[in-house]
Amino acid sequence: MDLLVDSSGLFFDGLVWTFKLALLTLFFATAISMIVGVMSVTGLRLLRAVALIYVEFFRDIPLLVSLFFVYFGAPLIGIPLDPFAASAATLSLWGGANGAEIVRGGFNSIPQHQRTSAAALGLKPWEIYWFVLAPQALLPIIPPFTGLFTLLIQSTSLAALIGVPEFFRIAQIVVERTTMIEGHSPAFLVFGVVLLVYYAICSVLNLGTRKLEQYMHTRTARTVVSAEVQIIDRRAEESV
Amino acid sequence: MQYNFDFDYIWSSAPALLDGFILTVQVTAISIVLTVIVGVIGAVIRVLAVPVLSHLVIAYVSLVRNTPLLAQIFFIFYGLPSIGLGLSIFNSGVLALVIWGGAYNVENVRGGFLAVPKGLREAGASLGLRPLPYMWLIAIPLGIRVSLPAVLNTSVSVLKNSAYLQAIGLAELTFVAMERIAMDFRTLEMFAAIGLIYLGLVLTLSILVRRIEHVMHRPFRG
Amino acid sequence: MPFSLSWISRCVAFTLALVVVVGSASAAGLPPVPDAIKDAGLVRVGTKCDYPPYGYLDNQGKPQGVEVNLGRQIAKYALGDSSKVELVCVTSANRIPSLVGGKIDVIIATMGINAKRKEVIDFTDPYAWGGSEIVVPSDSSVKGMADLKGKTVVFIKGAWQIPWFEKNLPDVQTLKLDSVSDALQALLQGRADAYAHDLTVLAGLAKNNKKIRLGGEVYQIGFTGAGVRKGETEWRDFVSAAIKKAAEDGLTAKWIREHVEPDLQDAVMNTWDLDKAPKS
Repeated sequence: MDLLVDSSGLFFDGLVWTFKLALLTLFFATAISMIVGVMSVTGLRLLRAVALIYVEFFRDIPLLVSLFFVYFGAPLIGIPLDPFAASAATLSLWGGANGAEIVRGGFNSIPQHQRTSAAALGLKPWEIYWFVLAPQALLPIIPPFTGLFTLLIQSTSLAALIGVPEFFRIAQIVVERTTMIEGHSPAFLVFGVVLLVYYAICSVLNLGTRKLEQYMHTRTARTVVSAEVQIIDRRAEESV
Repeated sequence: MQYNFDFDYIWSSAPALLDGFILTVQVTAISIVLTVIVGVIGAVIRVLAVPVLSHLVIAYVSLVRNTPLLAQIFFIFYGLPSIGLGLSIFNSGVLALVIWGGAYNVENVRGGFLAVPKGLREAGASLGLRPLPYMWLIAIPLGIRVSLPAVLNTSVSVLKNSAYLQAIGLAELTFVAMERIAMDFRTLEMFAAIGLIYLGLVLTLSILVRRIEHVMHRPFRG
Repeated sequence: MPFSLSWISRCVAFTLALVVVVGSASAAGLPPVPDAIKDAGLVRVGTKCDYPPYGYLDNQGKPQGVEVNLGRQIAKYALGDSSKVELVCVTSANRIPSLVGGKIDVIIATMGINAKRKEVIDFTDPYAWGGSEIVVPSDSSVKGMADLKGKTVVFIKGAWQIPWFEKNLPDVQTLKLDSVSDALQALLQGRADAYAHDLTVLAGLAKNNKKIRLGGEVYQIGFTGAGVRKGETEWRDFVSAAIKKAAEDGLTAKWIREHVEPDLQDAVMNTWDLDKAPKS
């Protein structure tokens, strides 16, 4: 236990890095999801194809492999990236790909007649998206997006494998130092605490979004989506 | 920066990559089977609302879904031995993947059960079916069909997450690539190779998924 | 006219000037610093962070060690200030990709000089030599390298003990992990029968841990050098000379006394004296 207290400063610094990485990633991933998600439901085949390729690429390759690829490969084509930048970029792109799928699911869950009625009323395409489709897509995508956000926060731990001094890396370092210098391994305690800390962070996030969901529920009159759609939406939330 | 992409290097690494590929497939296949079993058992416990066990299952699922897989892997591989539960690298890897995937599958399968109309439970009860035979004969077959997409999606995730096991020394595909890079420094060649292999594996599994879905839905078509 | 005031003062001025010029030249005594480094204003050094006494992290998580100090000293020689350095943690597996990828400018990370690495990077003159060894559990039955046949040996990814074993002891099961402590834990947990690495780091581990001991046979004597990107000859010459200067100025010895256990200091000092390397 003393070990934890002694290293608490180090752990705190690690948490700061984790938060920085997580916030950056969540922001860009959401932005990319919105853009690519809309692209994947437009009428233009080219946009849909581009969106599809992007999404398949990042969702089919393990995130770890993408991360190593970006970190080690980018300098070889002339873009120098430090570990933090490489992590933020890769995680955002991956989060964006998964988020795009969620957004696509959200749009697809809106009954087709909304789109046709809006067109019949003479709304232009961008108006249809902005005033009719998007507001209705917002509610069903909140639960899967919560899942994605928790996954993204958890995935910041991968940055440890390329040297970012975030929370998990600090835990690794503390275990390594103690093992080498004192001869016994505090892994059970340290990694156990790490799990609890991440659990706490994600639980807070889950609570927050549940409140958001309730708030939006009372503000919209939409019927609850069917279980089937919920399951399909869940597709997107747990692929890592 | 100049970089000459060396295709021959990929061919010469093929034997090592093949060994890694085989290990990836082995660990993934075993893990997927076990995650489905864990998922079904956990979902049945939740749906039947077994007194103590279903709370444990809720806690288990919540814990696994809110913590990073990498931390879980390190906890199992480095932490458990110090309280006497040392497992081999392969077994630690399988255990970690099964614990992780099983938690997601509990939710997937439970979602499937919830989609089975309540009326069927009552109909079964009026025909004299006790809960467990009802589960086995009616709820599970129907529930699995609904949850199949999600279960197989989690299985694809298990395949991708097998790459994390390279951090504990399992010589699977990503490990082999990282090790070759450490010896010969051919970064782009190795990542391009394993990127394509993973893409191929995932697409194959997805196509398999779709075929199985197609076959299972046959009784309900038409 | 000899000994007139103007003549004497001119002689004195000339002598003074000569002294100043000669004096400053020998105080620098180093090749020129490449413009790239000067423009960057910073020397990025890749060092080990899990390898006492050469590169490790202290309680505050800051890099310390003999090679870490060497890196700081190079920055001082190059840019006048030892704080104009960025110390980047590298491992045996990623040190060369990090250098080639432009994330660091020089590797000072217990890197052995071998032909394969020479194909990809340029080495400075060697600054130390060393041997490889193994550690086994204290109660192990392994008495020498021959006893390892058929057993499992753990290595660090990218370390040169791996090719040595492939060539000389192919009948071992290899387990490759990322860091020194991972390997040590694997050994202690029974996942491997032996851990093969450099004598220097293993000696330190064995000293601190009663549960392990050295195997007893030293193999593969090799030389350690710093690494720079291929073709950067100006920088390489500077680093070579800077390392030699640090040794000449007694700094290396000072750092060894600072970071190495008292019992091991003489042994480590020997490894930094190239004349003491065994002729094989």
